[in-house]
Amino acid sequence: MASQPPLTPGPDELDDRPLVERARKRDHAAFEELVCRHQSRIYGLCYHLTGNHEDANDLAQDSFIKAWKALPSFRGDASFVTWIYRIATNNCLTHLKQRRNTLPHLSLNDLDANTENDPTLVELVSHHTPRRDSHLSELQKRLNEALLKLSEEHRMVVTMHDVQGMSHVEIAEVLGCNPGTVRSRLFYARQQLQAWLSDLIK
Amino acid sequence: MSNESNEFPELQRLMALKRHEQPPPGYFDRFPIRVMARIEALELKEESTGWRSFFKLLTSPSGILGFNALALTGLGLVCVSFFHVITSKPDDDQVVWVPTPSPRIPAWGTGRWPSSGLAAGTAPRSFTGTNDSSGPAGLFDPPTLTQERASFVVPAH
Repeated sequence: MASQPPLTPGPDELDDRPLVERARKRDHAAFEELVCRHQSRIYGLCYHLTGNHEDANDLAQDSFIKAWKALPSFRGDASFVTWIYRIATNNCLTHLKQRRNTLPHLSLNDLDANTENDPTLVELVSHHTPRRDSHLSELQKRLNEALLKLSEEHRMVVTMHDVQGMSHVEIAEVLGCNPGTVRSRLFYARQQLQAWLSDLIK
Repeated sequence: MSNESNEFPELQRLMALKRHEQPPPGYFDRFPIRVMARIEALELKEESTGWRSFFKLLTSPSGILGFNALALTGLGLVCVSFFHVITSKPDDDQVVWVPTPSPRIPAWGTGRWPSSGLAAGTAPRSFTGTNDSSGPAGLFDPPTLTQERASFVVPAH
């Protein structure tokens, strides 16, 4: 999840096409290769939207299984990764709507070894407290709680843009709206987050 | 990360923390195996669904009832057919293949066969050989045994 390439078709995206063709003919090995290529992004999307490893695991697996079932009807108008993103997004939205009446529980994933070497984070954490480890965990918790306060649509846009590094156009393509809507949702979501996390962002 | 927007730089730096959150070690090594296992299980289930639904239908109350009704109907048909075969008499009109007609044997010495009911040329010749329309010679040769009038002499004691 640390460094995810954007969805814009590049050399890797073009390589998906032969695999997709083979997978459409029910080739398990080809589909497994597609899962290997995109699992990190899809899991990341599900994790950041739910804030929960267990739910993210189930939703990511379900998204790939739905993709396998729907592959024969995949026309190739969009790239495979955009298509699987749509499936995962819809899957997450359905799950979040069902979960709306229950309290969301956070099961935060561990931070990787590079966290403490990230200069921006080092600066941020050092600025607030010398106890770096404990403060990082606190930051992580606060951040996830703030994200879960956002509506699904706004959380989705912030996750895709600020965490996963997707462009406005790519997000618009996945969500089926225009880039202007993505911009306005992103602005509103950031305003909300800034207000909730104002004590950390100074 | 996309640089389309430079607003909220502090927030964006904080959001960068999310990128360092990782699932348990080895998670992505096991993930494709789990997905493919679920897909294979799903396909096996779909394959067996046809047979399973058939057996389920057979074992369901309505299925058992229907199956029994069908079996009883079949048994009834077999019984009716059997009874019909046993009780029906052979119909002469329905005899299709008769190798040779069986004419009535004329009284000995009358010399003629009855012509009714026999096609031309099929009637046997007269035993005495006097009739041309009779059958081929030798086909119905008269018995060679000589017939003698029986005499009954009471032996004298």
